[in-house]
Amino acid sequence: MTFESALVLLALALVAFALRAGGTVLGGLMPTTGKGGQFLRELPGTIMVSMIAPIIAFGGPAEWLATAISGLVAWFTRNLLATMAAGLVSIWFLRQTLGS
Amino acid sequence: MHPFQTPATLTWRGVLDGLKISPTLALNSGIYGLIFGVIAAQAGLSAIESGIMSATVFAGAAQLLIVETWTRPIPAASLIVGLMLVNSRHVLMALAMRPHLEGLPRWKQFLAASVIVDDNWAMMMTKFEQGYRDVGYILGLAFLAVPAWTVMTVVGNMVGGGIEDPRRWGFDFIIVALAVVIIAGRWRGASTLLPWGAAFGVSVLASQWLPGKGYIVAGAIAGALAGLLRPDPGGPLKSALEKPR
Repeated sequence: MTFESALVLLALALVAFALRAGGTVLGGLMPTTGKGGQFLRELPGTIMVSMIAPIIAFGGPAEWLATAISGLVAWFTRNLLATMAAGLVSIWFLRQTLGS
Repeated sequence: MHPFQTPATLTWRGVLDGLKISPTLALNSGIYGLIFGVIAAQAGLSAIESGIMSATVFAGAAQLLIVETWTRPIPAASLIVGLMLVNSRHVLMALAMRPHLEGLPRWKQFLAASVIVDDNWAMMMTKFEQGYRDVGYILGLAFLAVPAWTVMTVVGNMVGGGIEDPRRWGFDFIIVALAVVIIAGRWRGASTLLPWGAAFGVSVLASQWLPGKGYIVAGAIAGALAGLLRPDPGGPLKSALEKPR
């Protein structure tokens, strides 16, 4: 490992830490009531939707069906592990049978 | 009037709770770490370099972007900008977690936030919204996953060979299943379609234009802004955020 790459890796580590830890500081300065507070409350949901939207949109029938099955299990059980199991088993099975 | 039954804590009890789930995440991290290591080797990074990066950055999409643009001499500025773009979602995620850390010393808040990745954050938020108060949980979740990611990066780098597509086993779908649980728990009637529909549309469009996972930030902000057009749905976070300071 060169001195140059050591420096770059250190910088990357610091930036990665600052982005994560910095959010908690920024959070302390954020408004907690009114529209600002509502913006904050909308974020977890919209982050999750944004995270998976392209996977679903650019997926095929296997992804759509497996998402629907996961959604049903999540809705009725509200159980994380049951939903993960249902999602993994169904995507594995559907990709085998439907192909993708 | 405290909005939570009990104050936020960070204890070994919470770490152990997280550790129980950690093997599942570690398995996933290990498989992706192996693939990342192989790619990093092809990009010209040594086992030590890619191992250090995995141990300190531990963000798959960002690291992939970094090694793909890694040349000699190293374009440090564009690597850092790329990391900030792809990982800017971590600011939002830490920000969303912040109300649940209220009352903890700052170093404990930093410690908890410093291990955030997509899946452990999602699982931590689920626990919080069920009334769980111990932020040690996210440390427990990361406890095996980060070493697995790091060790398998080094192994993948040294092996440098091919590996079967993790897609075949559906491991890429874990994040979808996780997200679906959160999403189901956050449904607040038909008006929820406003922020989520906007988030879905903007992130899908942005994924075609922004590098890395920048689409997550674009979609999340657009969706949350669109959500302001509906009445405040409240929910578990509302009372936490509106408590008197």
